[in-house]
Amino acid sequence: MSPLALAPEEITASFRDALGEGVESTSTFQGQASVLVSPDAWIAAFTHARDDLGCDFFSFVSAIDWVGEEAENDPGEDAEASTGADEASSGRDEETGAGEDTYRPPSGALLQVVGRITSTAQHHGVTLKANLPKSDPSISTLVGVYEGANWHEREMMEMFGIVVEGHPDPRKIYLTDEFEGHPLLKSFKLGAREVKPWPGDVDVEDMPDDAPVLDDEGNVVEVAVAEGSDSADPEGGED
Amino acid sequence: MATITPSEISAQARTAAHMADIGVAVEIETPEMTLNIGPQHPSTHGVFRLVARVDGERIEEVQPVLGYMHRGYEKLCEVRTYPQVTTLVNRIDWLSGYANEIPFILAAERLMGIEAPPRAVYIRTILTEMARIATFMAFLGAFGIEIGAITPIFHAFRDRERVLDLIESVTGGRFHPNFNRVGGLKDDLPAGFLDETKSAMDAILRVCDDLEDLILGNDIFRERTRGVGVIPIERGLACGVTGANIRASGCTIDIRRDEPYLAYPELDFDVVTDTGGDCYSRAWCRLEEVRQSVRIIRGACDSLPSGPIMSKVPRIIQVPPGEVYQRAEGPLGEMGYYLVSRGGRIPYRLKIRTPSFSNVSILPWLLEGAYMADVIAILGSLYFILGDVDR
Repeated sequence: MSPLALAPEEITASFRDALGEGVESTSTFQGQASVLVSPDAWIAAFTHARDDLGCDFFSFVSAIDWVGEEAENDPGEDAEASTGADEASSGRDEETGAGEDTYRPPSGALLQVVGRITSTAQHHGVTLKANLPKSDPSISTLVGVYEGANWHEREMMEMFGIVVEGHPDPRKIYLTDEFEGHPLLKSFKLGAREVKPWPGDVDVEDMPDDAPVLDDEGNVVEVAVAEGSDSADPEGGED
Repeated sequence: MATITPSEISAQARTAAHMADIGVAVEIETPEMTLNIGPQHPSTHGVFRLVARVDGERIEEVQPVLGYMHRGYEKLCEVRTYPQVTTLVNRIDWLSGYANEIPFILAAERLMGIEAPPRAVYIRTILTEMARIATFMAFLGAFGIEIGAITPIFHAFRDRERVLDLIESVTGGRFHPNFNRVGGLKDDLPAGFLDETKSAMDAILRVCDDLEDLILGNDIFRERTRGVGVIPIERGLACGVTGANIRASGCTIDIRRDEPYLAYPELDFDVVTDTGGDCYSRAWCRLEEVRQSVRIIRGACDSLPSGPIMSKVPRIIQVPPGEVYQRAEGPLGEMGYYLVSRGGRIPYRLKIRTPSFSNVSILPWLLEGAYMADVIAILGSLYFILGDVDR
């Protein structure tokens, strides 16, 4: 790591200073700076990263389709604890630093655009995000800031149905012109799974301790326990 | 005063008439023509189409048409368990399947808080570099053919086969190893692997010297590639161009050094850069990187730790909720996975950032104003794999 590299906390602080109200929340989960900005500040955030933080390399921009809370994957007490902290400190909890490296996914149903840029000289990077409503998802184009966003945004438009305003070439890139629907939305069911539900699903619960998980055709769905690990302990260790 | 014979007069008249013809021809505007290059052109390494608007020999505008190989991996990964996803990501860049697995496995391990044992990390490093050598050998052979040199490919592919045999002896597959597991590897190295690696690496260095003479030292090759298809650093970076393509322009980025992963921080190697930014520099950088890969493999073989190849992992691979972008220096450039997990056995979203997609996106700019004859040199020197462009 270059000594010039900014720490993730410095990067998120710099965005708060530069954009002010435009920053909705920040995170340093897994040592990676991540800044959630309002859609109006999308261009300003990338411009700030390029001009003031030296992030000259454009990695990608894409989107995530959040469908809202799912009961079986609810982290439970962690989520409740962080919600409590939010209410107590009215959105200022990020400044403590300790709360920044915990992961908090958005709770509602929304489309989230994600872009990643890095600095080639200082070797730091930042993930920029913006939440868009599913009813009318639209965002300004990044082509004016990073030329390479052109094709990534074309892919994002056809895969998620996000309208990229001001895009110089808003044609489809992978799909044919006649194609209907937006394949990467969670509501777009994979054809193969429509015909036959995922065979692995039946094995999610109540697995015998020492038998490999098989699907309907007898293929191993899960990797057998590795050499040297304790097969009697289903949870294993993390060391 | 010299007398002019009738035959000389008629010769002068003929020349004048001929010059007049040329003059007329030059004044006639050549009609603009739309030319399809591909989708089955050999230099595109897959099915890729360029719609070029040409004026005579010059290209005025070019529109790449993608999607012939689009297999929807990002969607497929959302309905598969983590161990199943590795088989898919093998097939993104099919020449270096092993190198594709690494960033995905690292992303999953990072969110789970698992680290592979040192021996597994070293073996991963060796196999990744072997995949890089195999990929670049294919490039050096194929690029020669695209420029018109038939001989180099036989030398390159002969010794590339030895590297593929080594990969096969460890993993069981030449191109699609599916050898990584979350937390380690499927198997240890087979007996005799290190000795065979030593002799294969010697052979690779010899063929590097041969290729340097045959291709890079060739006058015709130099004429065809010097100063052709120059990528300026700023434009390349803004377009997301990575790998040898941007290092050939003088940009010293190499994720192996900038954001260390695997065993790279403990091994000696140089980041190869050049200043030309043209087709020649890109070919030269790849040749030098093969030599650096040999250096890394030798170093890793010499200091290969003993011990287990698998750390303790849960029976069922479940990744706790989180998001991480894990990137690695693939043979073609920055290969990265943005992994979003909501817990459970399947990724919630896996954004696959492939190097070729961004590398190719500079083509419309790069080919504008180029001569038709240079198109193949430029396409070949960018070195993209269509599976990597279309995913």
